[in-house]
Amino acid sequence: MIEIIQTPPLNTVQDLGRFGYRRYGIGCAGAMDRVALAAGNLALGNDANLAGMEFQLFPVKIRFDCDIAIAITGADCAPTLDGRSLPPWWVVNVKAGQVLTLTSPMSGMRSYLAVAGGIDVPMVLGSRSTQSRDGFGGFSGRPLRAGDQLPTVPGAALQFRDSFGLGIQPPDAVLKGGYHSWAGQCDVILRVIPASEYEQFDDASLHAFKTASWTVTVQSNRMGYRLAGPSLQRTTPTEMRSQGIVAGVIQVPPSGEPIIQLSDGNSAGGYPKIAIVIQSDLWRLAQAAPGRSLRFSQVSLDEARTARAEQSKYLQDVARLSSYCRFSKAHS
Amino acid sequence: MSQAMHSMPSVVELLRKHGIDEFEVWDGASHFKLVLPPSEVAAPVVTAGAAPRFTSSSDVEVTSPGVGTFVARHPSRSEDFVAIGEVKQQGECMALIQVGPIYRPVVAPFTGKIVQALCSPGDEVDFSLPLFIMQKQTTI
Repeated sequence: MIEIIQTPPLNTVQDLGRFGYRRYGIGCAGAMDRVALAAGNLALGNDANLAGMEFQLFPVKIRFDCDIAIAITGADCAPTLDGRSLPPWWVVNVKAGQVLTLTSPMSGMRSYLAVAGGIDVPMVLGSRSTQSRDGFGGFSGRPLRAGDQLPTVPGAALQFRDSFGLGIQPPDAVLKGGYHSWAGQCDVILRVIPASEYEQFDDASLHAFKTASWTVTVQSNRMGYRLAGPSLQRTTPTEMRSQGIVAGVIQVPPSGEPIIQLSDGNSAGGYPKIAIVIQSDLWRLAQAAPGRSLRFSQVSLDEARTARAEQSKYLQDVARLSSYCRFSKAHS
Repeated sequence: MSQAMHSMPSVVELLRKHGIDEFEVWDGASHFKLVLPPSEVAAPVVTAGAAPRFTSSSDVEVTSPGVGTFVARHPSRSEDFVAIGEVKQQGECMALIQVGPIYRPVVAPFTGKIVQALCSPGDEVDFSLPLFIMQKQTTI
């Protein structure tokens, strides 16, 4: 059991998402930074898809009621265990009664806590993710609150080669990402491929889309990010029928300011789609806080596939090489 | 295979010496795997003053827990884990040893002052190679 001692709103239980129900109007939910959650799970010897906690607001205080191995990944929230500092992206055993404290990250936006065996909330429609808008899944279908007691599986302590645990190299130090000739050092570069209504935008808009700096506005959350920048317009605006949309789709409403649909995004929508952020870059977006500048860099489908292969290799390496630093429970 | 069995004692000795706890080799039809229990490969962390009593202020080498690349600063942080002259508490992380995307921690074996760093970031280090010189605190 894990007890939430303190949490602001909007922190939830998530796995990698609920797939296959979009046709019924049920979006995918799931972790915004899927690489962070998957890496934490894999470093614990878990399946990548087990449920963990996503924190987007801080401070958070958690007490563990049993000995259990945990992984803290995502944005560096300066984790401390009973007041003792842990490095970012760290995997370690905690003892019953210990308290984990997470504070607001200096950079990045979302942190993840995975536990050996996963957070043992019921599976609903094939996933343990919180479906916030519809009120099901996760922990009682709602964000976490102080006093919540989250079930874990028994015997979840692991034996590590080093008692201090092990670390995971964060993906931004491994996965090189896109290139944009105008990007500043702090800009987040997102690789995109053109979407179905790309051709309908006028030349000036298409040029602006690819060259301008786009700012993440405060109207950005798990549903989607609204961006500020030049206004994008189509040559002849027409009404569209609603079409299915997925996380990463960049829609342009009549105001001309793009919206990127994300984990809790709608399952369908009628705004024209100018492009889609490749799936392998969605974790970068998940860590871009309001105020950050984004740049869009157009890539080919092949380049998107290469990016996906690099990401898979990173996660496979985390799983394989971390296994040498863990001993199976048979040893303990 | 009988040859492999014959040389097993020296293989075990080599594994212990280099801090390796699992060894596996395929040779055509034969397959040889040796796993040592974790307790047998503990690094000789403290080379002086066996008892945890602080009898005198002495310089002690802190050694690497394994083979890999020496990392002095976490890529998500703006400062190194330790600064020369800084006092670290027993059990605090002093550096990382990286293999692929995985880090092993170098942990302070006792509370003491960092006197000297013996490695630079990016150095390839071997098991039990000295990484830091720490000075035991005589008074706590």
